[in-house]
Amino acid sequence: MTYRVKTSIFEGPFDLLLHLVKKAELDIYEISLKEIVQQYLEYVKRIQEFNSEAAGDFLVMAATLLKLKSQKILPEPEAEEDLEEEEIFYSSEKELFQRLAEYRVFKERAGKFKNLEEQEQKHYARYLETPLEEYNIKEEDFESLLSKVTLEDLRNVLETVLNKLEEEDPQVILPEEISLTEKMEAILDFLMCNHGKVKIQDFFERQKSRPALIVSFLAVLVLIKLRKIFVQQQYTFGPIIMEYLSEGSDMEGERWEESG
Amino acid sequence: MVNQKALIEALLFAAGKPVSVKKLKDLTGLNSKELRSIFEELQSDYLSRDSGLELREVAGAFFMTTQEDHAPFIKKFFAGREQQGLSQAALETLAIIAYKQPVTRLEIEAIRGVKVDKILDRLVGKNLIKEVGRKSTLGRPILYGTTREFLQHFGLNSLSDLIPAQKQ
Repeated sequence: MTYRVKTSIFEGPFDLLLHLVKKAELDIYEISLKEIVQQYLEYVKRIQEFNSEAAGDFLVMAATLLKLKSQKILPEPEAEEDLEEEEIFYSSEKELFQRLAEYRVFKERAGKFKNLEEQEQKHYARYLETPLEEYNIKEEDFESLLSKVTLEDLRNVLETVLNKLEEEDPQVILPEEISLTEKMEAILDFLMCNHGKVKIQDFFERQKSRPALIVSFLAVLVLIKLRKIFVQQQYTFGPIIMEYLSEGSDMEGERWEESG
Repeated sequence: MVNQKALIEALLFAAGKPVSVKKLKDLTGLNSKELRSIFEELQSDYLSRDSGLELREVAGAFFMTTQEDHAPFIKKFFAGREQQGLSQAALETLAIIAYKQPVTRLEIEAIRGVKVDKILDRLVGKNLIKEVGRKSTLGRPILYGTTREFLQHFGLNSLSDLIPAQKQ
């Protein structure tokens, strides 16, 4: 799995050039200008939306080819003009072809390395959960080690973690149900246990979650409305005292219990 | 008296990676010649009884691994955790470094025709290449060379294994 979509097998302008030469199965000089341009455009059309930098590299190559090709066709330039031509990327066809030949050698060698790699990956060493070298990282080494971590490494770690997560069963989190009637009862019980008079804060502090706190507050409001309790504050910012009112209407209380 | 052959076998198993002759010398007190003959004996033992394990010399060290015929099954066993192969760009860059070392970034770029700075960083990160010095030219550019891990990655015993291809 690759993280960047890659539509081509070309690894650089030389690679494309080799491909163009091979595809035409001809000497580079035999390729028509039209063919070079067509193949190039066809290629660029496929890659540009993914990698404009690569497209730029290939443009240099194609332009160089066209220049060499046109130089070949046009009459030899005057000697003075020659000097101005030195600026181009590959100053002569000879140099270009030397480079191309050299690149071809290394491309082939890369292929051999690929085979060696595949061959070696068929041999498995005893699997160690944590490679021995990873122990005992000194703090001063940490930064230099960190700088060696590549994007690919991070992606691999993420992938491993995600794969592990998928294996584990997802945990179902059920919504916590807090009933208003139960809270109302809890408040009354709390009041009974404390001689019918408590600081409202004491009850709220026993609530373990935000929803429980909100429902508790609602329960207090309902109890006030039902005249089961009475709330008062002696002075500004002082403690709010909650007091049990025994003469509260039971009839209304039942109505609340049903709809709670 | 410990059975020396069994001892070497045990060490190679426990290591789970190539073990250098020097390390084995330090551990066992045997000399290189004795170690080599014990290793070769072990090697032929494994071969002659068609073992699932195999002893090889990789990166100048002794390495116990599984035998390649079983690779497809082991691969299945480790599904999802398999080592990824290097990209074509990385392989081309490594090939140039392997044959031209010590070599600078610009020299590699001249051959590949593309920038290689990111690939070099990644290869250094994977310990496949390292800085081996500075070229005494303008700017003193970094020279790169391959590492032991490079040899191990490709199952090579030494860089001289690459020589046959160098004739070109």
